[in-house]
Amino acid sequence: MKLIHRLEPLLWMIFGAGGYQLALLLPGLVLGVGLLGGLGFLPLEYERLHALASSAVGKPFLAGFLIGLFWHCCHHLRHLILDLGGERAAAPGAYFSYALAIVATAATVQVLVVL
Amino acid sequence: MSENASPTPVAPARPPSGFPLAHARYRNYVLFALTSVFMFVGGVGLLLGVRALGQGPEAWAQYLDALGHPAVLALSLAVFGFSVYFTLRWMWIGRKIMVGRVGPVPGPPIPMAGLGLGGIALCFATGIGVLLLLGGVL
Repeated sequence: MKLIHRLEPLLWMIFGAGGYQLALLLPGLVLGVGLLGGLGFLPLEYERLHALASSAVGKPFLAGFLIGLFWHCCHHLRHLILDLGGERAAAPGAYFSYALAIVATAATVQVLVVL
Repeated sequence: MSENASPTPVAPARPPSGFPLAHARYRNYVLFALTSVFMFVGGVGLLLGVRALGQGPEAWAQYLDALGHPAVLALSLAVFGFSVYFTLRWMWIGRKIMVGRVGPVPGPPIPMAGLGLGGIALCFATGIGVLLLLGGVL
């Protein structure tokens, strides 16, 4: 926990930056891909989206957005666990949350390297 | 501080009475924290989409088929609802951070409500832009 406490300023900074990214982009992306794309109302063409996502701008953008999203959510989850579970849940909640963030970050990097 | 100084004694942290469901303010706070779970799921869904893009047109078509499944649509609807709630609350809280008022600094040139509503309008406009980009209009 000492290391986590030492990293608190960095974690809160990522939480804040990730929060603004999410507020700006996530509703539109979920509406466009998850709902309108899933229902077939929005033409999500492979060639165009692949070119967009794998471009010199698209890859770093996706990396920043997804990694920011995961760390923001995991930091918030840590505090939800702390709020609901009390002091006893502090250390396990922190380890679980940040382990989840590290796994999600590694998965994101792997996916983007292959893209 | 000297190395031998004893740490300041503090009372153990304890939750407020009736937390987390007794008052609307508590429920709102917990609901806001709960958005993280749904938004994380949404992030995993988007990551799976990016992975499908990397695997080729067939994988992408399978991904789109999976998105059309009723259970996945219901989950997407829940993620969308939580992300909209997050956006509204984040920007409403964020207006206080954007002003960054500490000490005897003059007040903001526009009312605080304007900052909050402006942030929400910016998110709405960005959402429209994302839809236009995904749809191939931009």
